Amino acid sequence: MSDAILGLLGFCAALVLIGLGLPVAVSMGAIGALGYWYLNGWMGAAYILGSSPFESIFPYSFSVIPLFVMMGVFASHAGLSRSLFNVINAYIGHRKGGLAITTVGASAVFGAICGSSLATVATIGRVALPEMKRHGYDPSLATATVAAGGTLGVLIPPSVLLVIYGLLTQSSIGQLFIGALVPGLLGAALYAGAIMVRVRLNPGIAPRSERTGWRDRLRLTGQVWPVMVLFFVVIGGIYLGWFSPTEAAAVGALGAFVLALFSGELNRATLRASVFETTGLTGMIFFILIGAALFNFFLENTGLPQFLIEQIRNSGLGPTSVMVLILIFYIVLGCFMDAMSMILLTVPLLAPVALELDFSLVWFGIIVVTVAEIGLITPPIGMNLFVVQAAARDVKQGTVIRGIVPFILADILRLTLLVAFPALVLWLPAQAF
Amino acid sequence: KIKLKVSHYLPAVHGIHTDFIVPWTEQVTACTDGEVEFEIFPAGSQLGNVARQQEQVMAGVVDIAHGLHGIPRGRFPRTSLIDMPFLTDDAGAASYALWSLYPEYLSEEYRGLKVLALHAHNGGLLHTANKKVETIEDMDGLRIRTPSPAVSEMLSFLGADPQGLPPGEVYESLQRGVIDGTVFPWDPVKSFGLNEVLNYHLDLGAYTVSFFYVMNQRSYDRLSDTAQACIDKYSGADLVAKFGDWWDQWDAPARQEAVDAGHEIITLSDAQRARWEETLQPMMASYLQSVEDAGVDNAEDIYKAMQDKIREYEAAH
Amino acid sequence: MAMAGVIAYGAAAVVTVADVLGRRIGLPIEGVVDLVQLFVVTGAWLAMPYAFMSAAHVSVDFLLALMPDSLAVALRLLAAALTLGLLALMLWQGFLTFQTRTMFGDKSQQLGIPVAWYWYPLLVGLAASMLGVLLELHQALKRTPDHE
Ligand code: NA
Ligand code: NA
Repeated sequence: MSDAILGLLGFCAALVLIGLGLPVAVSMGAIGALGYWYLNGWMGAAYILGSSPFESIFPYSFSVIPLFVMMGVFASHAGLSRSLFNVINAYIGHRKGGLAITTVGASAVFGAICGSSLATVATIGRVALPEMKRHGYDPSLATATVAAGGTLGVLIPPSVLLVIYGLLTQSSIGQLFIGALVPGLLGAALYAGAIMVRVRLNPGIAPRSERTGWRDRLRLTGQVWPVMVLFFVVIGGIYLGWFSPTEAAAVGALGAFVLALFSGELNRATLRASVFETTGLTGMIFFILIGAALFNFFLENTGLPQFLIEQIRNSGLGPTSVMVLILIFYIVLGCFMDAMSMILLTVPLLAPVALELDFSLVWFGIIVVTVAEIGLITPPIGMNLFVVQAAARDVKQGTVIRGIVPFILADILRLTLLVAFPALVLWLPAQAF
Repeated sequence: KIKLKVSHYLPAVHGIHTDFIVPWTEQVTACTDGEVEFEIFPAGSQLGNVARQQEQVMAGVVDIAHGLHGIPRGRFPRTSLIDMPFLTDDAGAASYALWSLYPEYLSEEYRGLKVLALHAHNGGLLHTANKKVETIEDMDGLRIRTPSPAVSEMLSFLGADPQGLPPGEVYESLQRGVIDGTVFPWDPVKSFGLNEVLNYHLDLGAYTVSFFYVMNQRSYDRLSDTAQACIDKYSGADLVAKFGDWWDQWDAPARQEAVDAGHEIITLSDAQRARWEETLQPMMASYLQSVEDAGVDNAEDIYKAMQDKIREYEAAH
Repeated sequence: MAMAGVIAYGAAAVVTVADVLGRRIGLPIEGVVDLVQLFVVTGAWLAMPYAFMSAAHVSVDFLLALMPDSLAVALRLLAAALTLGLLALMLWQGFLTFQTRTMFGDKSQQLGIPVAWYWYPLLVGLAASMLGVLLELHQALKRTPDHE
């Protein structure tokens, strides 16, 4: 049996274990260690088992992960997400579908400082679902909006996925962050468009809320300025060269903690919740990194990456066809895996292919992260769909899925635009560097 | 038929990969009539971690590895004496000295390993972004990225502030002014695109950094006599002798790039070099002492022997 | 332990910010990278057991929900067994790697902090994670399976 076939089998075996409900990290780690054992004997497997747990956390560049997570957790427990929501609603809540559009906007802004898609869905869901229910919104529209909105934040910097992509491909994290801005905003605009079209077709699903006066608008805006300042310091600081992206995470984490302290919402209970959320999330992410390292040791040893690159090189397909193949591959994979595991597992395989085809790695990274995020909302299996359902127990899975279709169409339109016009990604970084 | 794994920590576009390791494996394969084949794992692969090359080859996870003596620091205290400032600025001389000293002075650091080659790069420069450095006094307060403990000591002693950073982060740190400069030979300046963010290059020839190319002894012993003979044929003194020219060749494009970009390249006169060296004498003495304290009783002797071999090489070339 | 982990992360943030501010006024933190690595490694491994205990690990339980209870319980046991096995192997081999590296006297690149300090949290974290898996399994088996 050729080693490449073995690699493919290992890949399928990991997917089966994941499909059976085993933790993603454990599935990847176990298959990786077993496969490596089969190929190299016990000595080899012993070595990777002994060193991967250390090497997967030790690199300095990985310190951004817990720090950004901390920033997001404190921001949410300080009530920053709720006040952001109120402000945006004050400006556009009286328009058709305004509350849903508000939800999209709040998701984008909160996701931007939080960086975790699931955390965004959980947080915004807590705030927006009751509001929309109160205003008589159709549950299908409400839940789907929250699930889809969660995917926006991961693309708007700072983004843990982009950081990991940058580390894997050794491309500039700063350029990735700036390149992601336009596609992220485009995504938000297209979602808003999808909502408006749907509401126009069926006005009954989204009654309007009352117009807020300018006085109240300004008062509410005044309340959120600290969040805005934090956002501009973190992003602007990277841009202006005050600090590196790694250091920006520390500034953000400390800043969010200080805001939380002054918000008056940080008591014993919320502090406890913040601590447990931070440890749960970072423990999970780091253990996935360890599992992925074990799996990649095995995958690399089978020569599967080279085999795939050979296949694509010899396929004679043009860059566009290859890109379309890659997109389909990710959307299918997205049914089984979360975005983080997908990036870790596939980017080392595909980045060489992208280079081979003369794609810009920054552009490719934005596309990959975008499409990995779409996987989170595509049925039958999409993490965001599950999380939003957990927040709205009375809504059926089918109702959520029905509502998500227009958002998926909006995403396909966005991908088409990004593939057709790479300048949407690349223009801004070219101005900054 | 046997397949050997070779790992190293440099990107697959680096001269170490394209001019040295790939041709070397091809030569050995041809010499053995295809009996021995190789699979190479460069940077970016799981086996490409710079700090783990020695460990991987000792554990038998790979058969051959090319790595840096200084990372993790302190594993090759004898060999690493070649890092001492102002010992030489010539890769050929440093490589020759290492290989000459290997049997008598250095071999105990390589137990369980079959040493195929030792080498060291050309004298490193001080590259700075916006602050021009010409004299020792200009060093005061500069934040400089450092490659080794010996260079850290030197920088601190000269009043600079040494920063340990992975090479991949140097570009952004320079661009954002997080550091003022970096100590590197020419070659990585090009591979990390640093000429875009640098303006001044002080050709100090101040230090070198050394590398090993080693094989797991058990992997070697398992090979047939023919295969062993082939590996021996392309390794050792003959291989070591090639590194002087190779490093010149790997450094040249980066220097040319800097010249084309109109950067200022400052070379120290002999008198200035002597002044730097003299200033550093106390630091070098205490550094040698610290190596002796760490258990290398004959550090002084090894250092002297290195100086002798370097003079011998320089006289012959 | 979770609290200590977050405090370690916090220390990493504080050291970094102090360096960012300090270097503007000529008072940088020496060896900031070594320190941040130490704090993050410590925080991560102290956090790890909690992730196992609270079953925070990403998994797909869509199919699981469709299965008969007995099969779902069997799969849960398999998941726990595989997790425990993997953690046990990591702890065992990790300990051997720790011994090798401390025997070499490895130190952090800039400050020369003994590498053992980076390993103690790892060994403690792996051992406590195994406990965490057992605790979570116990809780999960006690709960009645929940279908909508
Ligand atoms: Na984000
Ligand atoms: Na999906």
